[in-house]
Amino acid sequence: MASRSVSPGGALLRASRVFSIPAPLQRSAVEISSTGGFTSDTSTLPHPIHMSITTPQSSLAKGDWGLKRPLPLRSTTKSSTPVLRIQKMDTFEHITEFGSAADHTLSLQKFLEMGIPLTTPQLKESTQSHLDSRAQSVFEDAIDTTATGEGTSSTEIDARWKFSGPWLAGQTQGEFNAYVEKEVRRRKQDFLEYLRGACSLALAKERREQRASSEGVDELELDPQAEVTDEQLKDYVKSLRQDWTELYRHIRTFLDLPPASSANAPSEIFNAMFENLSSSLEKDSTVSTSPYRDSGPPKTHPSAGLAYSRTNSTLFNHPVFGPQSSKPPVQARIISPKGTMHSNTNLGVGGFVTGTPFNDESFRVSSTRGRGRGAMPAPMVPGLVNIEPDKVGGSKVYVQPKSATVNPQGSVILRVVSAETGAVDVKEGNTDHYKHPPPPAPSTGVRVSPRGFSRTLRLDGAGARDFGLSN
Amino acid sequence: MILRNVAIRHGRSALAAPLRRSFLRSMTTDTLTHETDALSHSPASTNSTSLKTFVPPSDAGESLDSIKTDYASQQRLNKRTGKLGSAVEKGYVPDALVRNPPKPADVTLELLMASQSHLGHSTSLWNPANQRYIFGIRQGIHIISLEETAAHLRRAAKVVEGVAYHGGLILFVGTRAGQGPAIVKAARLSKGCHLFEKWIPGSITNGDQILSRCDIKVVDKDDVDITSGFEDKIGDWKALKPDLVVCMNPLENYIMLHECGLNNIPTIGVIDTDADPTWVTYPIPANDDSLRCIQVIAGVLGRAGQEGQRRRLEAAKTGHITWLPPFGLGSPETAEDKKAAANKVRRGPPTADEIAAEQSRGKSSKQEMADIDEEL
Repeated sequence: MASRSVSPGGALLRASRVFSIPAPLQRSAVEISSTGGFTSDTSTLPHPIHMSITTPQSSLAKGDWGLKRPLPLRSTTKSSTPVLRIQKMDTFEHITEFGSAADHTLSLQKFLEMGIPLTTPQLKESTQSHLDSRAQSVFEDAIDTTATGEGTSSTEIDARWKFSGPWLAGQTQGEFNAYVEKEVRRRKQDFLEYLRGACSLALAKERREQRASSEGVDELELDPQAEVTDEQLKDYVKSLRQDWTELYRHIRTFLDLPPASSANAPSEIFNAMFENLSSSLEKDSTVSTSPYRDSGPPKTHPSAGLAYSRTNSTLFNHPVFGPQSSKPPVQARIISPKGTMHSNTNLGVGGFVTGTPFNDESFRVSSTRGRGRGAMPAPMVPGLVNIEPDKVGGSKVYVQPKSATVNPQGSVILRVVSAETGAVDVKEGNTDHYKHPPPPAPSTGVRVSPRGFSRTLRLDGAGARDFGLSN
Repeated sequence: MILRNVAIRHGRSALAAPLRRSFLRSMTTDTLTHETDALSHSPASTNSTSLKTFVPPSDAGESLDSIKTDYASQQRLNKRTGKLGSAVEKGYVPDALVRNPPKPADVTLELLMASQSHLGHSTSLWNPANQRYIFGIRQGIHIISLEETAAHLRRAAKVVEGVAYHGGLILFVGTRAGQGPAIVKAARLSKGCHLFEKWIPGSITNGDQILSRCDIKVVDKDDVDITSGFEDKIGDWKALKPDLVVCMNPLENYIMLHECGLNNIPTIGVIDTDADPTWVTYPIPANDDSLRCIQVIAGVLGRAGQEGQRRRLEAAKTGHITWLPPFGLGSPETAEDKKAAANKVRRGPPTADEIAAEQSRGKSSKQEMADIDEEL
């Protein structure tokens, strides 16, 4: 876009910090559910919608936040986290509306401290395995792309996270109708032009196949730039009406629609719809490679700016015990034990709510085995079954965060596993009962290195296992 | 380095003659007794006249060797440790605008923007008379054009400087919370008056009653108090009126601006988008809520007044008087004048002695200034 020439003051204003405060996002709509959820106007939103603003300590003491007017000292200086969100720069009452943004700011800080990488969402077919081996970082080059240049393969186009068309699987009937009425209908002529181009490509391909089979074809007929006659186009459209996979591909390319929600679901639908066309179903074996085909394409970049690490494979180096096999665990709050609200139990990890790790013996609260066995093992986390009223601060449990995903609604979905006992002991400092490894026997043949102390690192158990920390 | 080349590389410096004494002499500030001895005994000394004027230093004080070694060791220490440690950079001082206000020449668009002068009021609060100053709408508020602010601020600075140059009395008014230090600083720079509390209505229109207990003094062309000779005339004089009023918040001081209008006193005011620009003579469209913006504007006008006062005194030194004494204030009365007046002798024409009166707010004002000094 050609930049309009602006006055020097205008150029300055455009680059100013006040102007760079983005417009607030819309509040996420309240989920409509038959059970009736708990909603509050003042609760922490699943994702921030305002920018957080802070100021140096010296200016904070004077109320100088660089805004229209100094903010009142009584409400801004008492907080230990003086981070604000500006709701309105000025109102009819001559007041700058602001509120504390400490909730999201501290959540982000905690998230960064946990060091969790953001991965692609779990796919439907892989829900059985808890930790999907196919879950990959959102920053992988193959899927972290929005642009489609000339010559990009169809799988690469499919694996984008940003499409100009809507995700039809996530639309309601009304939204879909409105989309068809307003957007699709007025592009009918464009689609016919697009089909004409596709028709000419198809004809050229057909001619090439013909020439390959029989050499006696006139050279004039082989012109790929040949104009498509109306008759040919009509025949092509007729053939497309029979070949619905090809038609669907053209529609998706034309409207730039995200891939369908699952590889199985559309085939089932089409099975029901086109029972007489079962022969063409064999063609629909192309499964979308997009990791967002089940959850829908994300609204922002799939990382949502929460964290930028690609992997969890980092080593925690304890200042006393050296490199550890597992990272320091995180203390989670048991926010809903079994049977309080829903059937599932919930944990609060660093400001984010997540379910208890299933496939984990220590978090198992109900025995799947028959009651007849009698000796049902008590869960290792007592607060999961009953509320412990005598616990100061509520029941806590150590977990190990593994990965996180931001869903299209903007909420963070954490995946945690139970923490290792040794890691918890190291974290809490209860390492007295662990045995120190015997000191290495002084061998006479060892030559003392002139550089001083040197040690060799063993591949397995260089740190914790040396100190007997792996149980 | 290849060792066999050492002699070639360094042989010249090794074989060279040692540094000559005369160079040593020029390099140190100490006097060298050995050198003078050597020079005086040397037969090759041609410049004997200069040597005779040379006075060898006495050994009465500290021994020269210890000074030399101390100096050398200090130099060595400086050389070795001078680059150690961290460089302390200049930090951000929040009230730097009050301590050292910018001059009118320092007014840039960047400074005005950094001091939030462009943030107007909510669009529903605007006064359409300010349309010419408004750049646009952003985030629900009107944005004041930085160019307009800069131009009007420079013009107001010229006005303040001119009034100060011609010996006028400037009154700085800023009655909002937090504006006091900047107002006092500006008034002090321009040798004017300040008001950071409530304006007592009628201080101009009814000043003879309200300000009757205030002091008035008479100064000469160099701002030196004239202590005697005007007692009787000043006794009749009740109160002074300012020659220029600078108002930082016109919305709260409409009465004062109205009184100024009634008395033909020019006014300068900071006009936000909700204020009426016709209330003041010289509007400065800017944000009147931000303290930093007020500090910049008051500081610039104060510096302008300081420059005007400096030019006035400079001109007075050369004999050029830029102002006229108030009407009715003649030359000082001497004892002979009084005697002559008693004898009903007609007084002679007034001399060219230059007199000014300055209104001061008495002891309480001085006490307040001292308090604000401590705060600053």
